[in-house]
Amino acid sequence: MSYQEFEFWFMRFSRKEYDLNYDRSRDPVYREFSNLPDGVLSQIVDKVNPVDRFVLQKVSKPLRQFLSARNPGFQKIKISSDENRCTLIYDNTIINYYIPTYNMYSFFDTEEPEELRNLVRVNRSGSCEFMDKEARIEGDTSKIALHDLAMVVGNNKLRLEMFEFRSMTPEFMELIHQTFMTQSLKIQTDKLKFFIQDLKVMESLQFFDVKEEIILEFWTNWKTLPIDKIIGLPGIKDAKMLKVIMPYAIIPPDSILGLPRITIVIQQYQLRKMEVVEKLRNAILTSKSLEIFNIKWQYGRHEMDETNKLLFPNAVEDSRNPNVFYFTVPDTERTLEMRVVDHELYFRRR
Amino acid sequence: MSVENAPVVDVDEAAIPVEKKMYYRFESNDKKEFRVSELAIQQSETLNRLVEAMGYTSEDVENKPAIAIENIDGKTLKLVFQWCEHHKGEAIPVDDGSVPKIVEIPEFDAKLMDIDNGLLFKLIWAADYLNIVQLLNVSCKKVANMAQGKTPAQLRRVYLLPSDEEDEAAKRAAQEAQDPRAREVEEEFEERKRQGGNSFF
Repeated sequence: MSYQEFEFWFMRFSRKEYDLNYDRSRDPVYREFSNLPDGVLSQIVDKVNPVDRFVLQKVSKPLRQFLSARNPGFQKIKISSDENRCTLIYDNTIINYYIPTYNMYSFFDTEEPEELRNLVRVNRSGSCEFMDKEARIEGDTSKIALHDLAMVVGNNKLRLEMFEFRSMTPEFMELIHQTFMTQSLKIQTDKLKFFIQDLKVMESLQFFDVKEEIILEFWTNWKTLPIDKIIGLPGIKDAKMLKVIMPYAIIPPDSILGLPRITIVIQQYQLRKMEVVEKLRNAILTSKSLEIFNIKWQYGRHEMDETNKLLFPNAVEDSRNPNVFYFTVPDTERTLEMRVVDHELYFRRR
Repeated sequence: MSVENAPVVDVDEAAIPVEKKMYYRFESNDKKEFRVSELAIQQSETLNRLVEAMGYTSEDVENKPAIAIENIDGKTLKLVFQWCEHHKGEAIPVDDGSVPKIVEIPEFDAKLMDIDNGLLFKLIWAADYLNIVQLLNVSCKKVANMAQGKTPAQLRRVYLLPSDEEDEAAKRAAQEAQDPRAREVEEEFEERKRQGGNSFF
């Protein structure tokens, strides 16, 4: 008995229609999902949340072709990997790909046959879901994860707010580059964020078309990295805006502070140190190429009024806007505008 | 010919003191007849235009044959008209093509759509054909909700879709089932085309 037939009789019985001699040949021809008009199919898939829409792509070839012509609907993608697992985060849904090691085996799994233990587990969880969902697939963890990722980023209708590379193994990074290269990808995103442990991750720049901002988050090994080389890369140098997050309590080096369009993210307490205030003041005053310089607090809000007075006590307040100030760079004709917006402080050349 | 009355017709005549409501008669492709109020018909752009173009009087409605809806069966049409009667007088959402809106399924609609998938897909098809915007919205939402948290294999069962392998196998079987003579003719035609020959005939 087919699923369709089973469901038909199940629904009849649930309605207390027990006539087993019912002649189905007189029923009109079924209209099925597969022969719904494209306009209707669009209405349905637009109402399916993006992660489920992504799963729909794996259902059948016609559906895959239909969905590949539409924006997958994700806003944010985050990827990371370690030696045991690859993690893809689509908006609020986390998908982990891993083969459990002996230590990871839970009490419930110990009875499981060996051949099942070596399958890759694909585990999905999200803020809207009550429990994890898990599938098991034969193959290589990284390749399975990357195959899924490529299905999403390979769609040229995809428009992201943010793509983020978290901590990655060099092997997975290399595999990503190979795949993106083969597909000649140019992923459209407003923001692109790198967690920089080594230079390898920066090779990914070529696969992105970044509309607004590139974010570089350095790790504690930042001193061992060729910072000048990183900020000299074409994609970085020409970025519309570059945001830099240093490890805890570190102020970015002068080469970064001298960039023309820069946002630095610092801890609130750091401006209590005079040497930090001096360093920022000098960077703002001496940078000849300065177009935009923003200071943003890492956590929470802060009264930027105090900060601006600390940095430039002689700045003149705009008579029409109490949040805007002006000051002249000594020994030059250059005037800079300082603007206080919530917990950010913006400087720009006038 | 059977006439299906309420729940499609749920009218209290005494409650209409001034103007008598007009009820149009429609007939499904399996010869089931329905009476539907003028106000309920307004939910369907297609039917509304149709009855406006016909310009029927109350007498015409009674004396002329029921308006045939040839590609929708009685079971589906009953659901459609039940929905239209329940939602008569409600504003029709305007689709301005902007981002998909959040669709809530009201309790009545949820109960109405507590049906097997085959009938649900027919209801969607009918809502699209008759251009009933909100019924199409809620029924599509119901189908979209079915996809929530399912694996590809589960989705294939829900939507009755073949896997890639099954699809390929079906295509191969269809090719093999082709009439051998027709295949021969086709092959000969292809061969002549390759050789640059003139028309096959």
